[in-house]
Amino acid sequence: MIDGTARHDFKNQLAIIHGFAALLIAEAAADDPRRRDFEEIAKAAVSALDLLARMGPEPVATPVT
Amino acid sequence: MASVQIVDELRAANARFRSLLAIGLDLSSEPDPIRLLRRAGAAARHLFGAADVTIGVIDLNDGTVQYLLSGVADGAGGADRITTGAAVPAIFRPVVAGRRTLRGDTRSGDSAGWQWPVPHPALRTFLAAPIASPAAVYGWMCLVGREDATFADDDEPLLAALSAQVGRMYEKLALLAAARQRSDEIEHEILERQQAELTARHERDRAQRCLDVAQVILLSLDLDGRITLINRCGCELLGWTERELLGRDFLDTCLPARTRVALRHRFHHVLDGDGAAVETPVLTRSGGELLVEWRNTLLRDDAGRVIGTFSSGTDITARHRAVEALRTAEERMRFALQNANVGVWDMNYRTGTLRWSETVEAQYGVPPGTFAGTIEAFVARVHPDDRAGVRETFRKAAESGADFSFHHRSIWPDGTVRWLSGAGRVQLGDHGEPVRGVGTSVDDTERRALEEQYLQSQKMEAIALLAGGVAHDFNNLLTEILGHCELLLADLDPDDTRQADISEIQKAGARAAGLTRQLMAFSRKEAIEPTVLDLNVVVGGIREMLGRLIGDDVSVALKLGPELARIKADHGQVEQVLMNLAVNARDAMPRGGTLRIETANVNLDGRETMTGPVAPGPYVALTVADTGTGMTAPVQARLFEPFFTTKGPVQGTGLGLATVDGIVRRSGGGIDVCSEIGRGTSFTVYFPQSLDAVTAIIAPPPIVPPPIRIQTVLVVDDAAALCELTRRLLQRLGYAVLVAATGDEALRVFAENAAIDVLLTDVVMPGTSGPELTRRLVEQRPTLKVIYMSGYTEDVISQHGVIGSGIAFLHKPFTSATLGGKIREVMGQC
Repeated sequence: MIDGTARHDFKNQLAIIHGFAALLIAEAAADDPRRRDFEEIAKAAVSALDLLARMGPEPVATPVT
Repeated sequence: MASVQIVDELRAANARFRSLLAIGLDLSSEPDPIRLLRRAGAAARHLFGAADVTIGVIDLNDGTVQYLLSGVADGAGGADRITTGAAVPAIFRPVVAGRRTLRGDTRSGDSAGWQWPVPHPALRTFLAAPIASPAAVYGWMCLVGREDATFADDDEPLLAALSAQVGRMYEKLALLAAARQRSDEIEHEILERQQAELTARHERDRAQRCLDVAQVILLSLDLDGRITLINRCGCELLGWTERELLGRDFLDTCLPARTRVALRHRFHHVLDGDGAAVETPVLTRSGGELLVEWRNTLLRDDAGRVIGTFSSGTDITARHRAVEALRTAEERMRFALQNANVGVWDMNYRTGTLRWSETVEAQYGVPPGTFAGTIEAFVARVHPDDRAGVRETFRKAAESGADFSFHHRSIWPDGTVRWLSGAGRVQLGDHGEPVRGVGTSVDDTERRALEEQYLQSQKMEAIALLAGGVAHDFNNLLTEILGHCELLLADLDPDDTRQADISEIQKAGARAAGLTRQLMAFSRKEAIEPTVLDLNVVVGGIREMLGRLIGDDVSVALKLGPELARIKADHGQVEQVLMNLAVNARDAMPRGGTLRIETANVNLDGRETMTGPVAPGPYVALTVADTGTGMTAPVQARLFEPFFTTKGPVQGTGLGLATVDGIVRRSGGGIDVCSEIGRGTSFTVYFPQSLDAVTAIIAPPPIVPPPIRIQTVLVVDDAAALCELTRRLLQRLGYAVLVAATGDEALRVFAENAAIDVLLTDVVMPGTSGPELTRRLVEQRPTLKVIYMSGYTEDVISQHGVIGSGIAFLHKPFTSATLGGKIREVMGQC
């Protein structure tokens, strides 16, 4: 968002959060009391990614891997 | 016998007297003096029986003699009138001078040998008598005797009487004739004079008309400068009548006093033959001044002497004013064009020459006065990509004659590229061919750059505004994520393998939270919370992120100073400084290199840094150096200008270094830049050292002593998930928690629960807002502690006047530690 890099980095962080949360949900037993926490985390990460996408197309920049 | 003889003689005498009388009577009617003489001569010859008669007529003016000869003696008028040009012959002189008759015989001695005027008949015997009046002798009459006859004694008085009578008659006729002739002459003279006068008057009139119709001043001066002639136009312009002006000194009357001495000199030069035109001011009768251009000639008399001047004067006042006005206008125009940096060009299609003003030359990087002056030389100075367009534009203009405008780049010999724009007009000839093109040219490189920057900043502003609002939402979401992580980490067994995963989530969430600060910096919604920091820790904290940011081609070398002093600054901002400098360094090394980050304690002696003076004292220096391309001096000079960028519009905003400058300046520090083309650039940021102890960046979950009394917190947030999360966090911290999704619900909850110690409320909510809710609850219970929580910054909130005394502010996202700290703060338990 500052020069494309910050946005990209931000998106990466959300992806990491969502990825781990999805992993935790997948591994959690159906009756695990933590499951709701994982789901909340995943939901928040998806909402943040949606929000980011709604901010407009990503600027043309070399993705930082 | 004797008596008979006497009687005969008497009869003869009587007859001769009668003849004489008859002759006298006869002649008295003759009007012409010469014919009178001829007829008298003829009568006398007959009377005296002479063979011949001649009459000498003396010209009284010069004494010369004319002869009337006998061949015409019958009075019929003949040719024989002889002008001799000689004086009276000696033989007749006694007759003329002595007024007496003369009787002679040339055969006798005394008259022999006389030369007679040819064809005077030769004399043998003769009788001559003067023709005279008492006043003058007009000539004589000479009778020539027949062969042997002689004249008698008594012939003499008879001829004398006849001559005297003829003399008087002749005198009378001659006088009459002379008088008549004189009269004729006078009359003729009068006529001639009248004619001449008439002609002269005509000529004068014509000349006057010429003078009067002339629309110039026509003026004659004599040698002293007095007016001898002036025409109507002159009188009208000067405001005098001709009568008033004639005879006056022109210089004293009609020239302004200040110019008289000089112009009198000038007048003498004119008299000396200086024919050059002169411009002089001329004074009118009313005191006005005209500017008159004079052309002078000299007037001469018949002998060629100069007697004065004749001049024509043109009133050039209006022309002069017009010329002045034109010159003024031109100067004004030139001044305006020069100062507005508007260049002017002028194309002559007939000669193919193109003229440029110096301003245009400057716009194309041509040294003044060296432009070659052709279309081709012009096109050669146009940026290669724009040449076709320029040719097309000018070709169309030359065809249509319509006004046109152009935008193209010039390229200078040193490679500089400038944007130019301008307008022009082509005049077409009678056959539609282009004759001349003129127009302007302006260098609008800076304006374009500003425009682009403006557009870019507009775009940024829009993004920033959006980001500001969005950041609020991000912060809510991140708060949730981080909160759940905290709860999970606290609840899970230490052996639980999921601890590591959750830690990763927590780290990513923290980084994301840091990034939202950068978004908010541009919407001025960043929460600036200066804390005491260890710069080495900050550098270490983003080391990993830096590595990702700058890519594999660039290696990172850290050289962190030992026992580094603390600084007081906002953690996020310091990170941003580092990030921005690192990004610039990376961009300066497109083919890779080394990014060097150093920290050190330094002492500054109060010198100037590149961004301004700093106070003398101890500082912490943060150096970010690259091994990249380096910067030119002009680029260095503009480094910290907002919107100055050497990157493309997509990559760079031109705000990175300006932001760094702003942050460093606010912390009381400064920045130095050292750059060498081809070697690299090094930025050194100085932060003032702080003596305070370090504040923990991410405080570990504190070991919280349970409150002595269970305190109750009312949490109000319209984001249900966040509300729930906050509740769980607070419960874990040992608080009793009540929640409400809206302000109205909060009012109800508050009314039903007496023991609420702290109100933790969102600021912006549908329905009753946080501040409104606060006002109404504090009214009911003045001791109520209030904490606002918001993704917006405190200064935005305070701008809306909602933070009063006793009200704390909690920035989202928060951790359970900052949440607990804030509650203890308001409860006075810190």
